[in-house]
Amino acid sequence: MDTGIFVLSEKKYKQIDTVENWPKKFSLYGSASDGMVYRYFKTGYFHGLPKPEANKISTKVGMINRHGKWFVITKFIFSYPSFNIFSHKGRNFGEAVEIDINNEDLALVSLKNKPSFAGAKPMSHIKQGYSNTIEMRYGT
Amino acid sequence: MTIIDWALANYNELFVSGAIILVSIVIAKIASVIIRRRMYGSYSNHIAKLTGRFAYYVIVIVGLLLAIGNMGISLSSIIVAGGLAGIVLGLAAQSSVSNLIAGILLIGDKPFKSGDFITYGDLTVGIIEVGLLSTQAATWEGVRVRIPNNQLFNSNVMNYTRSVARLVRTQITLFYEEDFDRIAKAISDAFAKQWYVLVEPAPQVFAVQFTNTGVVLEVRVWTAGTTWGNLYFEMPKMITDTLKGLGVKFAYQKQIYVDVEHTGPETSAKRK
Repeated sequence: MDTGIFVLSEKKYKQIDTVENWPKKFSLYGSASDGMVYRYFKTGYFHGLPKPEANKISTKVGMINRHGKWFVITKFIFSYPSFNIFSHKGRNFGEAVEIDINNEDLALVSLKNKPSFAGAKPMSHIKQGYSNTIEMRYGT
Repeated sequence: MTIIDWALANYNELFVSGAIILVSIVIAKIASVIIRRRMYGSYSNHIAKLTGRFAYYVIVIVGLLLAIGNMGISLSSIIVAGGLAGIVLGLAAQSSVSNLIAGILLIGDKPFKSGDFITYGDLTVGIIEVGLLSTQAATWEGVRVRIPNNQLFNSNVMNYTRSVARLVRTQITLFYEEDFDRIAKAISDAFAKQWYVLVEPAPQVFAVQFTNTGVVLEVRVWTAGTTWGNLYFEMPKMITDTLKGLGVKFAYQKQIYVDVEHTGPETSAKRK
């Protein structure tokens, strides 16, 4: 999680800068000519709610396997600018993500517009965004 | 009847026509500003500017035609005269028209936009503005270049900025005695630490050629299209620093000159 620097004017927050708390790294998804370069984070995975860490948020990733076969998921991509952050008792949570494995070749990654932790409230000064679903192909 | 006599006789129509032209210019100006403001954000600044300018000229031309009609001058005679003038002008301005059409097609097709770096012929330039007749650009040295749109439209243009990701590669030659696995790993790790180097595809270092001097290694590193410059200019220094850190020298051609003293049989002159 990066830290936004805001100016409060007439009860409205305006973001003027961002402090990056983590090394900025990028990766390529798809081909060099028409793929996408996305911001890259390496994360661990937890079966329950992990211990809170500074500048980190927890996000619940739901997976639906409609195909029935076993799959190994090495990465998933979602729309970062419209990724909403929620808070509950001083702890921050990301928006719930869903990976819908449609068939052997296609998985749809979408943000669910709801918090990862039930009851968490959206941060009032961050504009709530709505993202499109991202299609991921097998082997990519 | 002189022009002054005619003007005095028709001063009322002249005044109204003048007013029509003035009002049409004011309306055109306002419409142009409104169109540009509405389009900014949704469309590129350039298209917004061109559409605003187009609307301005259309409204002014309509105002002029209304003013002429108000004066009692037949529009059909103007159209005939305009047609003849158009043929003459068309012949004289063939290249301008082809540039104009190429400009419209370039704006619609968007093979490049302001800020892109392109190579056209022998020239590598940064695009400043795509105009209707010509494109303004600047070379690496900052020299302004005006390129007719027709030439750009009919040439092979390489756009360096448009690609999502770009590969930068270079070759280095090392002596055969070196530990290539260790060197390849050190160079790959050094690049992987840089924020502008992509995690995937990962940096690669591998042997491509065996020469008299040593082994030629190729270093391949991927970066985003927008950070190509960072990688391109940093690459030689990073490789040199990494090799220095490992105590490895670049291979170079060794030339050995042997000065051999004459040891053959004595000449007949000396024997005498």
